[in-house]
Amino acid sequence: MEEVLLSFSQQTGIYAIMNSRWGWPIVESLHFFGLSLLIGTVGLFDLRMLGFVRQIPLTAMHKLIPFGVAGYLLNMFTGIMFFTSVPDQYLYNPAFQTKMLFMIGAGINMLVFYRFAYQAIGLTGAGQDLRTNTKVFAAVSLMCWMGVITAGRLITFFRPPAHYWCFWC
Amino acid sequence: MIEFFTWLEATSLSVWLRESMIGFPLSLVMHALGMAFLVGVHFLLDLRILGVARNVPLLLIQRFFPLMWFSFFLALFSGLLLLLAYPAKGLTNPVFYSKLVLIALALFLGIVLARRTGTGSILSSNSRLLALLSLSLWAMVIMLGRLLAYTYKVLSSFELMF
Repeated sequence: MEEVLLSFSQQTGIYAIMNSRWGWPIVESLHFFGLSLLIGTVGLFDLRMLGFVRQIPLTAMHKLIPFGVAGYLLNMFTGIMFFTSVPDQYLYNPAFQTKMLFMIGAGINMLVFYRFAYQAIGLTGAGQDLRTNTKVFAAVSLMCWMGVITAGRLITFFRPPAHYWCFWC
Repeated sequence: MIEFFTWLEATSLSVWLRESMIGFPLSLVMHALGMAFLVGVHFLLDLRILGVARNVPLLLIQRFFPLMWFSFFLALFSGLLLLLAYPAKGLTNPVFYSKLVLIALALFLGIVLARRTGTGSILSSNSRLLALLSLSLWAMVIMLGRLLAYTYKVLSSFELMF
């Protein structure tokens, strides 16, 4: 597993970038930029869903989501750059695994929301509020993304081998 | 200056931040969450001025400013804790002062742009240029913050004595 990830990093040139003088901090900066973009779009859309600044039509706020997706893709890409360059420091890291759980939670929540509750967005104009069961999606989304940030920031304090989680070993 | 750093490092809060299990990590988490919502609200304002989500009434974006200020003070408070943990680390690094200057500029620009949303002048091309500048300033603030972990000369005042 680690060998496959590491050889991917080496063969794509990612490894060389991440081990250059400023490679790692610059990619980290991009990761933080993407995170702020995600919170500034998806996070604020979630807050509007919860009833924050109700005068903004929800459909208008939803136009921000593509920029949230852009932030997400940037972080997916930069995240893979960290992960594949030192795979053993992430694979067995309790904070990283917790972060991935929050990511999966956010993903499932999003899929269920778009499949079953998205039509409510189009029906919610300026000044209108969503039903409580639709608001649950926004609350779960916000909590998952804040969980992702929290666990992500803690990765460095749970490095193997001092900390070690491996449910598949 | 060294005496001042030494005195700060010896305060019980500074010692706790360095030696407890949770002090420093918790401050970093607060700093990251504060940054996300602080910069996030500014990104929303900038994107809207640049023409994204045109149906969001410009005047209403200011309603997110209490959240922006709350996040700013969360980031400021946690930032002061991070500084107090290792005062010599930040205060001897020019990158730290550059970051503070850029934060002041970016905040001032955000306030100017938010004020303009109440007037017709927000639609001028000048505002779009300033929105782009605001986006770039926050991006630089983020990068300088990250670089603080890679550019410091000393961790403690002890290292300055030789």
